[in-house]
Amino acid sequence: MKLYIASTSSFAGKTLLALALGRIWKEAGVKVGYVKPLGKIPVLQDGRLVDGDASFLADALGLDATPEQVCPVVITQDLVMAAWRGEELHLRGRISAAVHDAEARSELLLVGGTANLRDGVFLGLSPLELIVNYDCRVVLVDRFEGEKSMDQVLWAADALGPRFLGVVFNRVQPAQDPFVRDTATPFFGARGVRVLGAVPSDPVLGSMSVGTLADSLPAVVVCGGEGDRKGMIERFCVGAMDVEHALRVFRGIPRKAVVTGGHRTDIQLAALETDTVCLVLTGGVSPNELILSRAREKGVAVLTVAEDTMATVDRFESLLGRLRIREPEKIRRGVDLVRASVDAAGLLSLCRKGT
Amino acid sequence: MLPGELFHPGSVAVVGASRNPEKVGYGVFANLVQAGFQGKIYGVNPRGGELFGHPLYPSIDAIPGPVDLGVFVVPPNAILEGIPRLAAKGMHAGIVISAGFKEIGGAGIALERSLREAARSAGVRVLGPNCLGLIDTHASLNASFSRGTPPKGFISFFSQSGALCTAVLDWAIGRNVGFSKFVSLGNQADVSESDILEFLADDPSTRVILGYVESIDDGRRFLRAARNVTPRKPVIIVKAGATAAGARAASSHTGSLAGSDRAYAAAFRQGGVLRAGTVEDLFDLALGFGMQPLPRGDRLLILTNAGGPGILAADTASLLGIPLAEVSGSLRERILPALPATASLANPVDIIGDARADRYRDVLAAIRDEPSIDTVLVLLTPQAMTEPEETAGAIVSTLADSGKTVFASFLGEATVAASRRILSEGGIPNYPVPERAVRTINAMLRYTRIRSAGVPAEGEAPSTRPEIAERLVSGALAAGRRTLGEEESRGILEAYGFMFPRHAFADTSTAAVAAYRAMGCASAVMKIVSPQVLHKTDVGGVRLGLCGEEDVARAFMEITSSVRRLAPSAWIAGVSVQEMVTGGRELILGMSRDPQFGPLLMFGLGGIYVEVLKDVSFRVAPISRRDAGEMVREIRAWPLLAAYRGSEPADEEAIVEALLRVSRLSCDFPEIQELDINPLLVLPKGKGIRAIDCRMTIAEAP
Repeated sequence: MKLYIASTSSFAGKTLLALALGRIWKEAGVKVGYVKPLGKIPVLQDGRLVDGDASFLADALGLDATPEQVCPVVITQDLVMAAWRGEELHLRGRISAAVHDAEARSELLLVGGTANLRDGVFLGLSPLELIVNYDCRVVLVDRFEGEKSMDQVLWAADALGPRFLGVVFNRVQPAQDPFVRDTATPFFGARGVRVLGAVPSDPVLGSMSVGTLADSLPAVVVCGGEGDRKGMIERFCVGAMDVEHALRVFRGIPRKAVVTGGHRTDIQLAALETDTVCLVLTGGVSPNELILSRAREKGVAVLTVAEDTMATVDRFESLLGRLRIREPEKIRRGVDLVRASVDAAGLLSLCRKGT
Repeated sequence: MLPGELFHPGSVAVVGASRNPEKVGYGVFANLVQAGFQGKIYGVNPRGGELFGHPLYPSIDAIPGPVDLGVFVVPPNAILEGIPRLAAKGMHAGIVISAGFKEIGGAGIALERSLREAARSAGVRVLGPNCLGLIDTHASLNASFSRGTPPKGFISFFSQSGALCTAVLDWAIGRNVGFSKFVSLGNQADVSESDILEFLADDPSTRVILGYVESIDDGRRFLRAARNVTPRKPVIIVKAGATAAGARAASSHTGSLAGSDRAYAAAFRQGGVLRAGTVEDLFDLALGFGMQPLPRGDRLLILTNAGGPGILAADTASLLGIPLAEVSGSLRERILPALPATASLANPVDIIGDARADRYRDVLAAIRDEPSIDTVLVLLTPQAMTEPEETAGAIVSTLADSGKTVFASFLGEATVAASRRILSEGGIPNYPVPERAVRTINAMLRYTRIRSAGVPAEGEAPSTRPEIAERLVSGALAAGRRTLGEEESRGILEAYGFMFPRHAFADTSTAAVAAYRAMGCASAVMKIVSPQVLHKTDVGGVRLGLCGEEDVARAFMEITSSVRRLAPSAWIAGVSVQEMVTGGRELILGMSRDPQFGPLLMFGLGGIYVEVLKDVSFRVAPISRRDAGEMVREIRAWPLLAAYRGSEPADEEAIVEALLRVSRLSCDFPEIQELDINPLLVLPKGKGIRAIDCRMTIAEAP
């Protein structure tokens, strides 16, 4: 049996759900497999082009498979150009082989979908067609956004027909929780759509490690050991105000990175006074010794970047909110959240019934 | 508690005593010997030899006797080695004059930590490092590299700036002002300003305490120490870094986040500390407190030989609220014979420009015996007939030890220079302009009130239910919430006795109308309920004065549409329909946790009074009922709360209660970092207050 994990927009939480369901069902004794027909995150690994997400998942689920077996087609620039030129791509055969191979080695095969149910049509790989051809059941992950979710979910239910097993809402804010439970769930239920769970919005899942940040900016870590590099940043905050106001703002934002000029000693001290994971000092100014020793005492990492504050903030914004699960702390947390909020056993029996 | 050996040791060792007059180690040793210290003095220098008739020992171990106080003028590593060795010889206290610690950063920071640890494990209290040292004139001890030793007296001074220490010292020597102790705190690796304050509180040879402070690390301890000492002796402090620019300079200088000046001002006030605005003010106050007894009452008489300065003095007194004494009939009769017909017998008493010393003497003699006068300010302008020296002598001989508080202001320079010395030797403080004398009198009057007020107890906040607030706070923290809006913080404040208008949640216009009908009030308020919207009015999320069901239904549409448009990513749960409270005045009550002093309470009148005029009062929690009362009456807008133009007075008692409740709440919950109740409506007397909107910031308690 095969379960296709679909979403209607990117960063909805497909990887999280696949990872968590895989782990939970494995614990229940089910032989779980994973395949991602079309990968969009090309990464060079030991000289081979693989999909970053798929390889990570295969690894996290402890699957014994080559990257090509987990993700037979990765979208590269060459592939895109070939599609534009109308060349023969011969992708279906590769996908078919990978799916059948993975299916043979598992009891339940999780099929990782693309960002939405249209991605891949340009390669002749329509997700809807794929679902039908390989006879998959489908679970939809949707970042809960009120009436927008109504549109997405009802459209998908209609498009998928009886193969559609239900929806899992993700990143549900505490204030939305009673609404999802008391209003949205009965609403969808009345329209034949099962709400399989509501995963709460979680600061840890939205976070990034200091090490990842330093690698992505890129920045020099001038202070902070291995432990500090693992610190998880949940929010970021620009320190360009006067110091009294800074304290007010910084207090309201826990587990943060503060981006400020290397010369703003007062702002840096205010940040160190509050719940701060890391200081990002801009302008290539090396920090004051007093700041470094205080940061060391408090276990706060200090990064420096040559760019100015504006440019650094731009980079930050492109990083946060579009995060992939990689760090062990996030994996643990994500699995726990899904375990507590999604009816995994119910979903499993639905899958079994379908086959 | 500091060991007494720091100030009056039986024996002192100078580690790093040097025969080279260029070296600090020479200066320290020279001061120690020349100040006439009566105990044993040991110099330590690996090259040995002799200095001022004292042998220099090649090592600490070679010192033949026990050592009470160690003074270190050697590089940091030698100090770390020396401390345990001297401790083995009985050392209780050390003074580290050497620099090269925290102030140089990097390795210096680690060295300072090691210094602190070395001192702790040897059981020694250490002053410094990076300081000028200390002087105790009563013990004839000058363990510093100052230039000269001040005359003996009863004023003590501590300073976080070595440079300011030298300046005050030079002033004391130049003006012949007697001092008891000089303490240069340096980096405060161990001994802090609060340690010194506590020590001086019990020191019989200190009557007035002066201080220069840049930052106080443990504000709460300082406040405790200040409360303990100020009922016994005056404490006058100059606090640098009062402005944002100054505070920034201080924080890169000291490496600690400068707390807000408002917190310092509040803490000084609550601790009974007199704050001098400038170093000049500090000197002025030091002269007054150091030389004169405290005034027995507030009745001031100004005696002058010219109209102008008398008027200036009277103006200043009036601005500061010091009443000018009435010249009684008997006094008038006694001084009349000594005066020409043109003299003025009102206060200021103007004995006119041709007054010679004998006229001053006659009038002063009459004043000395006059019971209706507490304080006398004698003004003199140098005119053709004036006799400055003789007049100064007359003031000293007539009024010194008269029991009255006496000040002089001899204006000018060239002709009054000699008379100043006569005044200061006779114990009469003299000021170059009368305003400075009057300000000093005011400070002394303020201190008499501080002394008689005593230490207030924390005010009771009745009927609080901390267990309910506890559940709400920990619940919000567990849910990862940091900034709590009205809906989330209301319950916490209710548990501490705050009253809110009646309210109901509604998620549709029909529900809103139903809620309005159920409430049965004439006029209602509607506010958006969305966790993402904290400033509701900014997104059109508040409507006031809704009358009738149609009005309520329309307001629902308007509010929710406006928020949808202006805050598209916000989740709209619905609205809160509330009873509209009328007939009150808007207040703001807030709390913000200061890094040094803890919860800092703020009070003011809402709207422009806070935002534009910054008319607010501050106190450090916990506060007493008296503090709360002062907070309310201290703002300039206070008359608007009292009865004016026929309006009923506001319920002041309820505001005081509210301040006490917030004080208790912020002390009970260190998790609450910031809190704003804005607006808080105060109703007429006896009708209480209503919290209309509130927000909080919380964090895991440290």
